[in-house]
Amino acid sequence: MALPNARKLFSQISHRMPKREWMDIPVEIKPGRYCYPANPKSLETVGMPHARQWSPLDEDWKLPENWMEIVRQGMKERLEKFRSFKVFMDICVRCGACADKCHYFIGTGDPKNMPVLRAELFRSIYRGEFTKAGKILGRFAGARKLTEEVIKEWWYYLYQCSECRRCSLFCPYGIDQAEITIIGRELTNLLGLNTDWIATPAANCYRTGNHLGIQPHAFKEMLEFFCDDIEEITGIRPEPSFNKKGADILFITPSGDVFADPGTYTCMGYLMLFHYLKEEYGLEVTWSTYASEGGNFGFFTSHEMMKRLNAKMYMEAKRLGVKWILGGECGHMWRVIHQYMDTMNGPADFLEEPVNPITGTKFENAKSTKMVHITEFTADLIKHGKLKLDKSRNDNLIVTFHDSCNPARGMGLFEEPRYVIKSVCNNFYDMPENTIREQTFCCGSGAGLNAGEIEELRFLGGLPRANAVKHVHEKYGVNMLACICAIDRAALPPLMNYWVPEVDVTGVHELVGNALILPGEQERETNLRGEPLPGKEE
Amino acid sequence: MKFYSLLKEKKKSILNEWFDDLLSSYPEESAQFFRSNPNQFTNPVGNTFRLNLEKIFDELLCEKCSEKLPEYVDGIVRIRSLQSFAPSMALIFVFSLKKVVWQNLRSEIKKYNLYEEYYTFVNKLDELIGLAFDLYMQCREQIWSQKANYMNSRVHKLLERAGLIKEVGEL
Repeated sequence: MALPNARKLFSQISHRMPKREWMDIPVEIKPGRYCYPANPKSLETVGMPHARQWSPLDEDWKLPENWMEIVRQGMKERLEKFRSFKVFMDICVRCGACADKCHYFIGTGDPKNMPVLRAELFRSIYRGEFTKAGKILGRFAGARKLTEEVIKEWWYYLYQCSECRRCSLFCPYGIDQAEITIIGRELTNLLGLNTDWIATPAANCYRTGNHLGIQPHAFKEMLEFFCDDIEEITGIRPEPSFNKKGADILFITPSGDVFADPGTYTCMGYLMLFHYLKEEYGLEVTWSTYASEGGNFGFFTSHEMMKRLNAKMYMEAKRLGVKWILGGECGHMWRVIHQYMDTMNGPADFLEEPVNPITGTKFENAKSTKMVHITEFTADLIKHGKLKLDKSRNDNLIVTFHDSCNPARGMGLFEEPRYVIKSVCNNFYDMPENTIREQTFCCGSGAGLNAGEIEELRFLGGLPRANAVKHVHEKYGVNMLACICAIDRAALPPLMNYWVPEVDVTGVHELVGNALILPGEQERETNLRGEPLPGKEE
Repeated sequence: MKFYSLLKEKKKSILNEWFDDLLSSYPEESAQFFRSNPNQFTNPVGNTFRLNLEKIFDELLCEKCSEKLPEYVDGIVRIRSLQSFAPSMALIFVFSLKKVVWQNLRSEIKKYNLYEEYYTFVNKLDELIGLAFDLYMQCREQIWSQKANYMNSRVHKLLERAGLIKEVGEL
């Protein structure tokens, strides 16, 4: 694409001042734009403060009496503790490079969804409370007073940010809006302001081990149920191990793969892969009914909660005495693993530096965390010719790939999933370059925003993604959107249904499961969804 | 067909005003973004509005609108129906074309006495309003039916997994 010239760029600049400054526009809490508040019992379960019934539409949010002191103290502590937060509060020059990069702004057209402005909701208070210039000059220095209205505005817009970090990619200073949101959400949590779609899964995870509160025996039954289906389709019944001491590898995946379509088909893909590796190479992979959740909704609550929920991964690996951990297709789980786990709950010096025992490949990037992403693992197996595959079984699919925000921007995982898809499918087309890889658009439902009550916000936030899918659908006939995140697999089907109904959604390992030739299998008639394979239609 | 040739002649100015009128329902900062970023992937809202308004206008210039018209209207309505507007506001763009055309061609209509042709054009706009309303309702109903279907299938699956229901063939 040719670079625009100065005249063209200049012509796009509006020289008019907005009629009203943002500080003068009061927050309007609209139904359909906010998630329901947390169930107080969920907050109490994990010892979060000020649990209560309240409604965002009420005038009175029943804030604790000393709420102002709590916020001031909370902000002060975090400014001292997190250098990043302090720097991000100070250095923004309001250049606006991030302004039009947020999918929620692009879709809703609400200016307070511009990352710069969302952060200004905080900076204005930081300046007013913690800087001399702000204290003396007030609004002239971009400061404002801390009021209940400010708290309402914080809560409303903090939970319209999916922490996808697309804005940070374009910031010349590298200001990470996600970190501001993360800390902002910590502050709202100090006042008992959270959302139920985050707080209840976090409590379930803490109490039972996974977001839905599914108990260990039900978890095991579900996987066995998938084994029934696999046996019906292939004639081979995988025998997964659970909580097996001395296994080579512990496998942890988001519970969405076990309990929600179409993630369940991805889960069947994992089961088939592990069966294959056991039969062909004697590799023992175990599942855990204790560490039965890769996702970490503590990450959307506070650093402490994230640490508490994450701890079970290493604890279970230690208890079982495995060599290293393999992680399934998940989004924010990988952000937590890649960027926090080692510091929070490490060092995992009781585990080995991960080496693929079948190929001898050292996973250098996982040397410290001891946890390997499954697409990297499978890509390595395929690269070394260790899997027998029949790509033609996916010939009815014309596939594109949605880079899930966290694996893409959080850990730079771009090539491996594409390599796996291209190895198991004959038809693959990428979406336009400014919508994929590090510039990928969020599904619109990350960071605890996949709640039904904000579906319209999610559809608007997901519009840039859907729009790019629509483009490849019209240009190449794409009919399947692959992804490597459980939230994507839950959020993208309704999103596609609204914007591009001809496109379905899959995890990468569902495609692998379809193509993988299990030793001794019968001739397959259907794919993992029970649909006829290409050439087997009646 | 003097009126239609005037519409063609003033197409650019009419489209610009029509587009601006649509964007005036957004805060100024957002309208500026929707207006100025020409990339179809990083500004899907603004680009869909701009392109589809032109396509709709071209359809209205034809004697008979093609079967593509609903698709063009749907492109805009599908976005507007999600953006927290009241229904009348979400569809304001179909009403505003009448105003924009009148502002652009008022003097010519009077001068050449083109009321007859203008009347047939306004009738077409009325049909467009009906179409936009149908599409708006389809979008809203789709959102609610997706929610309802999701809840139904969730409950059904839970009951099925709990062994509380059996299909007829399984009895």
